[in-house]
Amino acid sequence: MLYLITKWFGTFLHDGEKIKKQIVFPKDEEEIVKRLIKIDRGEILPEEWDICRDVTDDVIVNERRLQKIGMFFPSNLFFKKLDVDPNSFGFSIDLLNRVSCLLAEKKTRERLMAEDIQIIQMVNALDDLIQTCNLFSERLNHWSLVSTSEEKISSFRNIFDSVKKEINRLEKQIEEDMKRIAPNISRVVGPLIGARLIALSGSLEHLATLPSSTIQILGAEKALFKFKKDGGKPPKHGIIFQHPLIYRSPKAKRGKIARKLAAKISIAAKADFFTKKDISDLLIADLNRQIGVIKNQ
Amino acid sequence: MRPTGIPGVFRENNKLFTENLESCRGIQVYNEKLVSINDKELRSWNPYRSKLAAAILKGLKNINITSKSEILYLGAATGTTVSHISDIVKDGAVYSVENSPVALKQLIKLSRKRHNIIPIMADASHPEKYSHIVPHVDFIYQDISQRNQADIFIKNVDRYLKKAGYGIMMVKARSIDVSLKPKDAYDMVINKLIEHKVKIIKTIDLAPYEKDHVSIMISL
Repeated sequence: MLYLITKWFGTFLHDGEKIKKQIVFPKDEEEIVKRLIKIDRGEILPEEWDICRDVTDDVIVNERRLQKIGMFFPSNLFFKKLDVDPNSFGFSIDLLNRVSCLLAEKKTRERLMAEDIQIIQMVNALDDLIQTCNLFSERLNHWSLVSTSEEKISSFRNIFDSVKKEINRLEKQIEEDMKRIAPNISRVVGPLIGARLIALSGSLEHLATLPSSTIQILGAEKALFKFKKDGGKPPKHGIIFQHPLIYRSPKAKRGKIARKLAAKISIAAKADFFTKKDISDLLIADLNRQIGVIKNQ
Repeated sequence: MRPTGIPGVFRENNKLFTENLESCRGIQVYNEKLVSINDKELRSWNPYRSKLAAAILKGLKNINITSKSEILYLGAATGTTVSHISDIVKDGAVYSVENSPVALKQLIKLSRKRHNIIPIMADASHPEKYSHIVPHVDFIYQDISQRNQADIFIKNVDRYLKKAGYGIMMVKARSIDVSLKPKDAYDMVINKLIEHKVKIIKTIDLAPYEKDHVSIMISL
């Protein structure tokens, strides 16, 4: 029986007492990073295939991605004890430092370029602009009351107008992007509320893994923690309150509707993140049926 | 200025310092003060910015870290505390796990200058994802304010901590459960650790540096 273990500097077959076979990677940071990225994607390295070729013993692995090579025993106790020292193969901590910096740079770049992260930035910028816009409009009102000449405030009014234009432009951009990367969420609650839900949860991935009860009150954290600390009533809805299905409904039914809507958003997010299939027609039909039932109660 | 008993850490009244790495002389990480004494350069260690400094000032005498220790650091953030640990383990390594790409960007910058820091972008609740990089370590440090931080800590201890290893967990009561009294929240965490055969060595309240926080020192 042989244990297959792969570290950043090579892949090894261990018989429980010592290393029986080894393939060491080139001592080059780019080469090593290439392999670590493949591992991250769940691929099997050519070296891992090679080391197991012509091996007659059973091979045991503790990584799911290596299932094709050996028997998958994730909690095998031996792996807990098994560790291979990079120094004994001439790999220094300095090299690992360079490797990990390079790998982490690639990963952060990829993550930060992701479209949901861009949408979050746009949502935050939009909120800043809306706040600014409200401040400006208040100031304009006051100013025009005390000012006799329109001239004095016209340049200020220009800024106000361009802020309003920028708000419209951003909203359109967010809507477009949302429809592309999250078609299901966009159909179920609308692209703008959907974008806000992504912003509140941190990423589309995170939103897709949240329970629907959490989605229901995203944006009402203050009320939720007040309830948890001091008691009283828990919030029934967070940002999804902005959906007409909720704010146009009678108060007594909003909680129930919020629950149904959140449940559908939760499914929509999963479809958008995992399967990437458009199932919005089904979701909408189902939601409308459920809401019809609530309204008739 | 006198030694604290912790290698590489010095103290003057209520101020802590770590001895800067030779290769990083003159470089500040977060605008901390640099002081030259004899032929050493010391970096002041702010207990309001770093919970480990707070714990030491509040009476943690032995952190069981030497200059050769290999450390797994969960929740490295932008690297304030990591930089001081990097000073201490000058011949060891700090494997620094952080999930936020924005924070990690700063940490990478720091790691380019400090060769004993190994930055890793990963979620600490999936320790198998960094098993190709992280070896068995002497010490695990955790500072992630999450409700399930004890579970995450245990998973990592299970996988990476050597038999005679130690660890420290920074616990924020409000992250565990806002509805509990801080003391009850800490007990919940401690009981979970004991259930998993982790020994509790010392619990220290971090007030006044942090409100409703404790550090829990453990060993296997």
